[in-house]
Amino acid sequence: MKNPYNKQDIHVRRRIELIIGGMALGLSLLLIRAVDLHVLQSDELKERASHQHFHQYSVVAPRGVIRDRHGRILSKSIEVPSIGALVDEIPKKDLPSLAKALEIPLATLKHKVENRKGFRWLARQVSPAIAKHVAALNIPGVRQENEWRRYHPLGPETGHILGFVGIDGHGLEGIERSMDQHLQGLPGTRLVQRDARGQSLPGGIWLQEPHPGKELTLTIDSNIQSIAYAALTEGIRKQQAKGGSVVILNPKNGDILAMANWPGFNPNRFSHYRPNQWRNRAITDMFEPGSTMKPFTIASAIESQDWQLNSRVFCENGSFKVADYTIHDDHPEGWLDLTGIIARSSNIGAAKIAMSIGARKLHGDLSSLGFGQRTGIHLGGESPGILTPPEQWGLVETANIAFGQGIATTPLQLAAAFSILGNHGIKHQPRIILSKEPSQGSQVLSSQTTQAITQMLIAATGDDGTGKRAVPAGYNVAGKTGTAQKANNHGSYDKNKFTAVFAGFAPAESPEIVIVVVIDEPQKSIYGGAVAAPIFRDIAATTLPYLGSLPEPKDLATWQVQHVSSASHKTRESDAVGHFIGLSLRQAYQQADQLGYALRSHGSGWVTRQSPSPRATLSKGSEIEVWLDE
Amino acid sequence: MNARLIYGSVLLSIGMLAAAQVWLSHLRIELSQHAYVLQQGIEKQHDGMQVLGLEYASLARPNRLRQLAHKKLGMQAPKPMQVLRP
Repeated sequence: MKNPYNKQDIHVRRRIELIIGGMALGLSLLLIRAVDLHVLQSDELKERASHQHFHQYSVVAPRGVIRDRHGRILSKSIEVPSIGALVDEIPKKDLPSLAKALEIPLATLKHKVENRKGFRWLARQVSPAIAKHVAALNIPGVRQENEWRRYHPLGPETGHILGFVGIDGHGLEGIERSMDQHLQGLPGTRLVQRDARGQSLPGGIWLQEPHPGKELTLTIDSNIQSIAYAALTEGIRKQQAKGGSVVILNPKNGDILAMANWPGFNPNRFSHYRPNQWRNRAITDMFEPGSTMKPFTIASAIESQDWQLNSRVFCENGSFKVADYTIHDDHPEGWLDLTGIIARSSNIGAAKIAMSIGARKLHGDLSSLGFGQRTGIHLGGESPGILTPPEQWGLVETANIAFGQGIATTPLQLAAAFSILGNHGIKHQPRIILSKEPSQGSQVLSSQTTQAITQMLIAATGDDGTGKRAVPAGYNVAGKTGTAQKANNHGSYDKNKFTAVFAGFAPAESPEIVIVVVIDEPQKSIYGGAVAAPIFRDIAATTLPYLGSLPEPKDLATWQVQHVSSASHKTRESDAVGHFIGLSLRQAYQQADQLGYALRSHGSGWVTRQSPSPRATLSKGSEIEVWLDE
Repeated sequence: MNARLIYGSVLLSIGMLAAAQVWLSHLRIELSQHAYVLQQGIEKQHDGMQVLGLEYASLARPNRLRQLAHKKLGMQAPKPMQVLRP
């Protein structure tokens, strides 16, 4: 007989065993899963958790500031809002109001967002007012990001030097391009904690601090740059010329104090100008220097020791045939010494001298003066000019190059060459980045030669010289005019298109500045002496006192006939007392005397304050008090 | 009796410490948010200074000063012979 309890016990035991087995299996699976999560997938899961709890984003650093030699800001970046969006999240019904807030056509906005996914810029570098309007709409998916925008406070005056920066923050022209690596900032990365809703919590840590770009100081003096730009613009307006350039150098160290071109462009709105208006003509455009080349021909002759200062050349009374080519002089002359050749700007005299010293000697000297080579300035697009090898120089070429035809230079090259004449024969590489280290110069002409050439150049701006209009009252200028026909596309010269040039330095005895003025296709006159020289004079007259080089009175009569500006006269006519502000002490006394008042002055320099005010009325013989300030 | 008092004190202390912890935590978040707002303010002021610096550079540009001096004060650039040696 079977035992029924025994059978039931077995069933219970099996059930228990089954349950235990199931639990053991479950625990084993849990254990395996735990090992899988904690060991095998540990790194990946930790990373995913970190992504959910932390958010890391990059911060763009601003570009470095560009300053002039006195620390004035020439270029700076500031943060401006840009509007972007996750375009697939924008509700279609909000597009018209968004387009209105962004001030762009609805069709343009639709083109940017429809049938697209992910992040897209809607409008970059917008005004704060636009950003505020967009934020007020609170449209899903639309968000504001801050970007750095570059501003050039001096606008067109420094446009060609500085260039501009594209919307992605990289320099595209000028210094902004050539020094892009230096100016670029290093972006940073910041880590912030997020709450359960995914919003950033306050605080956070820098994984990598952003580093703003390095500052850059230029040799440019913004006051001189402004003076040069204004004088060039006015000169071109008077001459109805096509364009022009001015370069101002310090001959003692090669520092470029100003480099202005016309037509200018505003780098803050560079896209509104044609690309050919962006180029810095002072370094990219070549021109035939014309007679401004003669001082270098004469210098080469003196250096050869075959020619002395009192050597004389017969200038063929204005017409001289070389091979099948006839050279003409504008001012026919007979016998001229070397000074006469410069002062009277004789092509024939220069040509005869060049032919006597030979192509190789002249070519070697012109090369050492920097012609036919880039100056190495930190600006892109510099032209080397044209100086053909001496093997290609026949008699005609040698004669032509002597007076600046068949050779091409840039305004900067010419300024650098004149710097050598104004710096006792020592050549400094022109530089636009200010450096604390002194410029290393090299002697390329003897001091005696440059002194002799300087005297010739002073004669060229004397009463009988072609450059007499370049001389501001109270100074001596050493300079040379140049007028050259422009080459056309057919390999010959255009009879109606000229380049007018004046190059020189002042004060002649101890040069503070070298100025080169190049005017392209002047219409009123074609001559360097009539077109470029007055611009040189206007720049020198304002710049030299600014640099502390004061004029020497040559004759008292000149001082006596100085008048105050016409604007001041106008003001006085309508005022009872008269406007004394801005006058020198001498002028203030003259004006007070004319009006019948006694004058009491304080200080020296220029009148900055007066009592009573210009509009007050006073009886004759009353006293006016003025305060002058250096 | 003594045991109950001891247990009660321990539980009360734990409760008070927990409450203090919660209060400190809230204070920390509040202070952190305040510091964040201040930091934002500093950055905003710094940005404002940058803009003002640029605006100053723009307003003080030589060409503008020259035009203002001419139009408002009737001044002209001095001619060389108007400049006296001190």
